[in-house]
Amino acid sequence: MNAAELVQLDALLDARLTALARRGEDGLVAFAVDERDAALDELMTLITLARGDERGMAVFDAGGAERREPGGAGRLARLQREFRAFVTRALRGVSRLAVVESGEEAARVRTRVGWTGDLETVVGPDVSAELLRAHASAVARALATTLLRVRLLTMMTSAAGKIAALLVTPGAAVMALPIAYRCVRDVYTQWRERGLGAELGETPWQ
Amino acid sequence: MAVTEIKAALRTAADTVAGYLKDASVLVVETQTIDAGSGDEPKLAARTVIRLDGDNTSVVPASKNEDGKWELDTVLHDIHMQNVRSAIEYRSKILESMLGLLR
Repeated sequence: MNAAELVQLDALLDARLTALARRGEDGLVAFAVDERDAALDELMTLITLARGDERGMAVFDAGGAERREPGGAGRLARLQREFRAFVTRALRGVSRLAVVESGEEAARVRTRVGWTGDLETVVGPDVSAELLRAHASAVARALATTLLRVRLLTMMTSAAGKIAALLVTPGAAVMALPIAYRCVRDVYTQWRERGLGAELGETPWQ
Repeated sequence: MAVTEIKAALRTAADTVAGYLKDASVLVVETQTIDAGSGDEPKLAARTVIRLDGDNTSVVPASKNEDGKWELDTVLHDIHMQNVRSAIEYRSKILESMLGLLR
């Protein structure tokens, strides 16, 4: 995950937030033309729900047929739960000791990762140079995933500030966070679909 | 209720960032060897200590050859240095992201 790839991730988020702000200014009627617009529609629906409109919003598909999105706090509540779980996961990554192990018995190598990035590696007597190289890569991957989660969290808090402007309700900044979570998650999927961040291991959402 | 819980999560995040910045003045990377099954404690093979004030110290894995000259254990040294690079990159980027959370 190099700097240029991260710049593209930031650019995708900026583009999405700009489109969202434009949609907000144009009103809440949404037209699902393609999949990406559908993702934008979903964000607008969430904003409507966060504003307290329990009836949901009118959405028109490409053929012009109207359907009414289901309202209710259930969708927002689910996102809020997911966002809290993500915050917990991101903070756990930097606040707890992680262990990366490769090989077994005498050919085992084990690295403990401290919360500030201190590394302690113990190498068994039969560990090959090849296994050591693979292990060092596994350690780098684990660190990259922790880093990515914290960066995504930073992107969410930043995006929430912009989304809050569309909410205009008391506690808007906090209510915007789960919507920002959804927005960043969509953008991350788009980023990975472009083949970026290919060396990352596990998904940051689990 | 949900707002309160989200605020609590954010407070935890801020506390984590503050604690992190307090503890991040020194970066230590150690590589040890262990004789599996012997019951012995792991032995230090290499250590790199990097301090925020710029002081660095390194212990490298080496032994004297028959001529009495030092020879580096390149396999252990390579993994140690790769870990040092990973740790430095992680530390610099995580600090940047943590500070981003506070902004």
